Amino acid sequence: MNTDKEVPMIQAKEIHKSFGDLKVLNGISFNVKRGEVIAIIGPSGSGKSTLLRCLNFLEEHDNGEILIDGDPLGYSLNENKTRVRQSEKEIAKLRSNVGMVFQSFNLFPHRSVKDNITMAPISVKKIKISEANKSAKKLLDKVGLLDKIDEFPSRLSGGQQQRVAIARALAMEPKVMLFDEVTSALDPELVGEVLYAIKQLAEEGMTMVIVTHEMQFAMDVSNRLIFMDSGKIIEEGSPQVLLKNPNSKRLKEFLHRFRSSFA
Amino acid sequence: MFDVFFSNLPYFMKGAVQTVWLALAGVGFGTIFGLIIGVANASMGGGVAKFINVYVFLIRGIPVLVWMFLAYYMLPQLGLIIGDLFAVIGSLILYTGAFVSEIARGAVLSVPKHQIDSAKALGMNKFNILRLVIIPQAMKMSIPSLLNNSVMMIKATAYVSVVGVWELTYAAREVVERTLAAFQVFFGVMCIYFLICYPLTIVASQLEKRYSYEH
Repeated sequence: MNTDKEVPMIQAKEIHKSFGDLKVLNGISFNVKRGEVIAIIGPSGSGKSTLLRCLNFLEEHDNGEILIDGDPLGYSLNENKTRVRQSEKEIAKLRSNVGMVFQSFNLFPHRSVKDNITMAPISVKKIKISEANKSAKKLLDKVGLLDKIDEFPSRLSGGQQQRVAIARALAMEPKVMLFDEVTSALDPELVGEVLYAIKQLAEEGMTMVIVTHEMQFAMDVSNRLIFMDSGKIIEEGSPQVLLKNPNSKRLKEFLHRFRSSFA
Repeated sequence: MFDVFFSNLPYFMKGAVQTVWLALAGVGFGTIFGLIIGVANASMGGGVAKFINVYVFLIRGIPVLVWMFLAYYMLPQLGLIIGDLFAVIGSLILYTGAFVSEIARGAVLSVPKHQIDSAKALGMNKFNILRLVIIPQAMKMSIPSLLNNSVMMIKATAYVSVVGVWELTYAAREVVERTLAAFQVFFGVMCIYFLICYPLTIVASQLEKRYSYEH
């Protein structure tokens, strides 16, 4: 664990990623400070989700370097500065520092809410069952779902499932949380409860990277906004400035189209 | 009407016990073997998967009866004297294993990728993902096919009589040759086979309930 407060929690350096001939990430670089909340916006296919998946090595980047709390994730550089893929064991261990919540919740349908939350702490961190259960109750209480502890995911609404997914990721006590369009699959009336849970986390100082289409939420919750298009960061800065006075033509167009679709 | 069948019932029951024994050994071990190699095939890839695929294609493409003949006649010629009973049980294990491995492979591959992604994102290693996420979900999907395969293979134990291994069908043929009461003997034997296979469907439905959850 890095104790140097100056070391950014996430460092992405020149990240490149292609799927076959399709270049999805084209040299992305950015840092995320401790406790900072970054919102990433951009049109579909701009590479936002791929970037997020690269940040916990669910997608392997073709080039570049990702450091979480100063430690390289996925690939390390050896003495000759050549990339060496870390072992699966190392990757799994480093990944547990990076919590991720997905668009489609991805809860384990064959296990109860409690088991969904305790499974990883027990099997990965070797935490005692009683302690894991205690922590699961605390987390469920935090997301307002303590009464659903013994339910199965299929018995919960989308918003409830997403809040359980947040609690499940938090149970590993990650240093960073990644949110991948977590409200996109929800009914409009269920969006609020999930956004509220994320806001709470932001207030507690959790470092977060949020890919979202909720512009108002991005403005409310984030310290910094990144606009991506065609696998590149086009513009970044304070959300208030960026959303009200965009510099780039591309962001202007994006915001115009976005606003007109809600007019 | 079924006097011949009932008078020979103790003999048929002995044959039925031998059939159940063959089924437990051949189909039981074959299923366990198939599950292991099927999961290995789906999750390991590389040389292991290639080797298992060759085994599956080779075994699956040839009738089980031919494998029994091969094991019965060929192995002794190669100097491997394992006895007729072990030859047929070995054939049953290998044959069941090939089919079960494909059922297991299909079930493992049908677990949605996002389930694996979320387990990975929680820091779980390959073994734990397999044990806690993939196998329990694959199990639910594979139960009906496994039951189907088990019932088919239990019935395939009747083939062993062709190479001279005694069991229920062999016993029935002996009684028919002695009494010429083919209809009542084979009708009775048919009922015994049904009674052997039917409890499996009950076990399978219990297992389906045990592993049931809504998506």
